[in-house]
Amino acid sequence: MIAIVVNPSMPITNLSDAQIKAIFTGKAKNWKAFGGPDKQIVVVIRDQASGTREIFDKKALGATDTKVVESAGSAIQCSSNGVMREIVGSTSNAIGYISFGYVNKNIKAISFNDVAPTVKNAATGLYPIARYLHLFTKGEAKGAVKGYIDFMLSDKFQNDIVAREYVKIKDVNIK
Amino acid sequence: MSEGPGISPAATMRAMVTGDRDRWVKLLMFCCASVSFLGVLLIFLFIFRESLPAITKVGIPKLFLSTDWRPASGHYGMLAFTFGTLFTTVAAMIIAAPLGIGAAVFIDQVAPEKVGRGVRRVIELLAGIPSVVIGWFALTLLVPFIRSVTGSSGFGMLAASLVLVVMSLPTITTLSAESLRAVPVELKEASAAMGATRWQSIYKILMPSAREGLIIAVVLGMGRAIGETMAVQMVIGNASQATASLLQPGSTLTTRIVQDMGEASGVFRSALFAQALMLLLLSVFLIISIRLISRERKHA
Repeated sequence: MIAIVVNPSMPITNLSDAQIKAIFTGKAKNWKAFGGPDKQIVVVIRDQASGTREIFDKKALGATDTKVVESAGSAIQCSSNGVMREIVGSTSNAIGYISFGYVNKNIKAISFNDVAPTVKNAATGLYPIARYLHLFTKGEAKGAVKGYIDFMLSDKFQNDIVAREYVKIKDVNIK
Repeated sequence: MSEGPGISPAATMRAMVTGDRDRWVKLLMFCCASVSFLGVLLIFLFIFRESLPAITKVGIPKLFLSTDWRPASGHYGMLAFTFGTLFTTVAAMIIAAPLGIGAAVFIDQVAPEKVGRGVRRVIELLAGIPSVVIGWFALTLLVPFIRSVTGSSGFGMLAASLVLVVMSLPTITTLSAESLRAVPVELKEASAAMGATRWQSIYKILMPSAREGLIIAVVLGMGRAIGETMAVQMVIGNASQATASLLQPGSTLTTRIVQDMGEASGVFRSALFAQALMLLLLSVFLIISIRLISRERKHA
């Protein structure tokens, strides 16, 4: 799942899909319109190659395979979740989006359409900016590949590794 | 090398090694020269061929003369990035040229020989620092500094220009120092004999005599700045807008290529090659201007 994040000093806790779209496409330029300070909005996005950006564009900005939603030309492009956290965490008037596992105290995850970005809300499908990550195999998985997939599905792996940054597969119910 | 029947290859070899060593060395040198020449030619042809789809499908005006870069919806205008390259380069030169030439004057004319040599070594060392290190340094120190002073995001043209100052300074300083050193010592002595002070000598005699050399030093520094990629990419913000504001994020040709090449295909990829072509044209332009300046110097 992807969280929309702002600097902790930004007094904003929720934005609607229309507001998000206005901000990320560059139509809205000042935080004042959203109840924030009279400051320019610094939009931070991911680069063209990012899967995070693809899902954000589709699920938050309403892009489809045929209909493109262009991000603001003034948006800062960064190439990783780490850099995104760095920029948003240190720029008081920035907004961006980040893989949920990267959210820490330096940045603030805000609600989308009044739904908080929590593991529970993503799992039930209430928080829409989330997706499945897939594994692909050539034909039916067998041998070591099957062993590896079974290992990833095991309770131990799901609890110890997956739950740290993602949502456990048995908790997920995204349509 | 024609071989008559009945002469063994070994004998031919021996004859060549002992008798025709000169010719072998010539051949080897010719090969070396051809490889580099053909390499450059191949790069030119390859980049041109790869950018052809964009040139034909998008058209030269929309490709080279438009600032509208929205690859997802088929807009491939590169002017914003060409402008970004020129803007950051010129901004960097405005700082780096006086700084570099000033340092060169200090090294060559003002400082005691030991100090001058020390400063020179340190500046040369600067040229050896990999650009990714300078970029990272700028990302962790320069960008937050600009952010705290200006209240902007810190990423942008100013940060990029300052990084380019650091990158081009060694080139400008060392070459300027060379050209100052090449000024005949008689000129300086004559100037001193006429009662000129040290500064009068430097401004009225030394700098004008070394003028072409100093210009070439700055032009080569520009070449370095235009091609710089990694360090700039880390601090410029990589936005697709055209901006002349020092505090706004933007892109240069090189940073746009490195930012987008990973996932680009089709016309998008070709448009990036067209940007590489643009970079090549800029370099060719710089090289030609250096040639013209040197020719002027010979005639003078």
